[in-house]
Amino acid sequence: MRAKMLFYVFAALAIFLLVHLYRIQIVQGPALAALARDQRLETIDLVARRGTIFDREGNTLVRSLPSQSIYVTPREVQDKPATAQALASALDVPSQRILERLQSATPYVLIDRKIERDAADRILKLKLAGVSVIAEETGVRFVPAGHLASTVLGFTGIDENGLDGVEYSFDRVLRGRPGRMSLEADQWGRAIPFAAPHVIEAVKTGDSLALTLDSYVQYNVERTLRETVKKWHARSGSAIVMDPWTGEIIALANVPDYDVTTYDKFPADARRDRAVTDAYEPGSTFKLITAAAALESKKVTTYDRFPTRDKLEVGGHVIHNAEDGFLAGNGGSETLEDIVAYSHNVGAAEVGLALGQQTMYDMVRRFGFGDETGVGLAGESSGILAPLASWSGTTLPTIAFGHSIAVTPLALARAYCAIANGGLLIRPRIVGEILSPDGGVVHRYAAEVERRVISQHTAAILRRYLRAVVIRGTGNPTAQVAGYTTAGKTGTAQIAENGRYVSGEYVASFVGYIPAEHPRYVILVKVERPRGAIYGSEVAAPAFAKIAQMAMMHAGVLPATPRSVKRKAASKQHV
Amino acid sequence: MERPWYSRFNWLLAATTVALALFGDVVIHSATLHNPDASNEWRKQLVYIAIGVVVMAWCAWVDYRRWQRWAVYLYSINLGLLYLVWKSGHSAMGAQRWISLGPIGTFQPSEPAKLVLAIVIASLLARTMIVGFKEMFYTLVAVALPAFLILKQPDLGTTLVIFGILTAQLFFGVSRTGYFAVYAALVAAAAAFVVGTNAVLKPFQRSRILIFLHPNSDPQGAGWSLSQSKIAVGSGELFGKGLTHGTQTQLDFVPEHSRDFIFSVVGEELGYVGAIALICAYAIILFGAVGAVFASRDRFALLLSVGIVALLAFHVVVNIGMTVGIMPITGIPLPFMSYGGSAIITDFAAIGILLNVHMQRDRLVF
Repeated sequence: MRAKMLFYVFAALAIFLLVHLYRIQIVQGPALAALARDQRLETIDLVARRGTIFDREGNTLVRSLPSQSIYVTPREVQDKPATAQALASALDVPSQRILERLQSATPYVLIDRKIERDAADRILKLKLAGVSVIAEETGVRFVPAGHLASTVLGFTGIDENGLDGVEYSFDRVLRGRPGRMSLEADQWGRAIPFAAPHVIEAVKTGDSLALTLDSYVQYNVERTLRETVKKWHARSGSAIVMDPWTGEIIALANVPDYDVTTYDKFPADARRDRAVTDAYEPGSTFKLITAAAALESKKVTTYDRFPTRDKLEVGGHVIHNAEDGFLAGNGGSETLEDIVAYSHNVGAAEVGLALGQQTMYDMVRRFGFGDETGVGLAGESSGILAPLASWSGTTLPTIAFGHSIAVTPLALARAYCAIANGGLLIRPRIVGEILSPDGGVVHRYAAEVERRVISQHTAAILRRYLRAVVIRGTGNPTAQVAGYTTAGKTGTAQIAENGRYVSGEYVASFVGYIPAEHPRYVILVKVERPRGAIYGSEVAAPAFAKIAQMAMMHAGVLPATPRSVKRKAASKQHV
Repeated sequence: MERPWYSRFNWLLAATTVALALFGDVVIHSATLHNPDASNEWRKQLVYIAIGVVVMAWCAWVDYRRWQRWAVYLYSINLGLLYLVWKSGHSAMGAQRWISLGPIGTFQPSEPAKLVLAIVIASLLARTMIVGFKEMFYTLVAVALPAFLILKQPDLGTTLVIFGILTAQLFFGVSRTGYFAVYAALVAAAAAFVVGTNAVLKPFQRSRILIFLHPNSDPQGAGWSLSQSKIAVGSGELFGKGLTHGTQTQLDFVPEHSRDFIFSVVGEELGYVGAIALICAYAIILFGAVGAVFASRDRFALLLSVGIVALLAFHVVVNIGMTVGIMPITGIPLPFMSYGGSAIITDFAAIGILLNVHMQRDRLVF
């Protein structure tokens, strides 16, 4: 009968439904429950506050401040021109640009990101309809001292990601660890009020850095360097002050520099940390490496004399001495000390030839040239040192006085640290300590000696040579500092462009230390393409002297009694 | 000897129906707890239930044979209302299904249309003892008019329900099985044409029908409701997450959860146990309805009961089937559970008619 059939159909349907529900709810139940959980749980990242960068005295160089964005809901704005005018004056941008955005058809327009706190406060006070101020997840970097140490510090992108300098190389330390939080959200991703958020991973504020820089010294070095570059109409300059015993960089300045907060308004050329990224042919300052190789290999002693010559022909090239008035003339003879003191290229070339390629190359490598110093600054160059196999006949004699090789100012300063401290190659450091957000020391970087380069004895002889430079050589009297003893070496190098030396273009430099007896600071000054004068003695040495004196005063090292100076002057009269 | 009415009354059917409606209201309350726009739906539904119970009592009291005489008026009024919807109806969610009743709310004529057509078809087929092609043709024409208007709203689900009712009633009404086979073949051909081409259905309707065949082909689009509803039911597991604690429902992952997808709320919040209980309640109602079919003492009563059974059964099976992914999503309510006055009052009326048919089982016919 048909009615019975109906009964069976229903029974079958009911059983089918129950079986199917069993399959979904009991068999697949746990899997589907997990699916339901996953789609309502939303994980959000919590952005960590970026760490602060201090100098060695605890002065703030860069810190993060909370930042705000300005958004506008155009359809809620009553008087568009007036609102645009008000926003424009608060944000200091043309009102026309804001008005265009206010007239946009989109429901929500961004007016400005990462605005400063007081600008946000000003806008909030205006109580403009349709204008909202929203806190950003990441803060904005604030630099209290403007340009100070900008090329060392580097800058961060819009999300406070380090892009250059210490900000880049120590990004992982400064960034902290973003946290993660899960919360239950509805289909539209909105957090729901009756579920407690669950912190999966707590946010960890970024650690802070205590740099080795001393703001006072840094400021004065920058000022002196800027004055020097300006005075000689030079293209650029770099200066480094280093502690030769610990490798700490007390100051590192470059001209041109830039303002970290408005870094995008400066050309990339101004943002570069030339002292570590730019390799140059050092010139005469490199003669100390030749002298070190000579003394350490014992192939030349400090008493050996070389004939004084004005030029030397090697492999079809003629090497000249500089026309700087320190010419010893033909016919005489000179010691290694004289070659250094008067900066004789011909003599240095002869010494180099006497040593042989292998001895010279080994010493250059021992001083760390051809390698990065490992200072931990972004974009460090390892310089240019041709492998021994590709040295030509002129390579050895020219390297001997600092050409056919390119080094960074920092690498050269490190080599002078080794001479100053008695022969130990030390790793330069820009970061002294990593500090936790509450100020505790997380990690303290210790002085790191890489190797002994030269013996204490050799180092002592080299220091004598460097002192001679200042007393009677090319550094007299421009590298002298009243009341203190100084030592160092001038450098005047030609600039190669496209494989040829450009006539009239030089790098003037001076590397030395103060005080001469027990060096406290190694100081390098390098000025590129000066006009009016080209010699290291004339352009760079005075800047060295000024920086050296300032650094001594700041370090609390009092000048020696004027009497000793007078006595020296008096004894001179008797001779 | 005639027994008193209360001993002939199918108390179990009536009580189950009312209990189910009240249970449905509890579920509606849970489903709309966090939706401020719908948070008073359970109160309104309570009013509809009260009206429905009164209507059910009245229908149980009225001699079912009167419906045969009223069929033509009911049909005309209903057709008029459907025409009114077509011309000047109140639209919501892309469909035009409602007539505004001013302050009282809205009225959905396609809901009573199902019951009206069950009555009309039953009376048409009961006019003669022998039902041949001619009678089948008249019936089809009578059904086609309102069905077309409903399809135009567009309300595919209700149209399908009407054809389900028609099919069941023809199955019981035609004189020879062969006639029914011809009808079935025609319906199958028409269905293939409708689903296979864009001529009759709107694209979204087609995609909803076809999606259940390949539920994972478009999980973010047409398959969204289906997969979310299935996740909801499945994640309820054995005992459910508890009333008001269904995350799928409360967080709006399942659409329309107080209306068409209310079964997913039951499945999620009350689990397999709750789903079994609900299906048992429907079994009691349907077997009570089938009891009325068996108790029918004339041809009209039989065909009318069959129509009503088909109406209820079709709703239950298709609605639950759609929430668990074995039927296409057609948007028809779950009887006595889904929120909506027109539907629940119609369902109560249908049960009332069955109660009357059942009550008259012992009466002698002269």
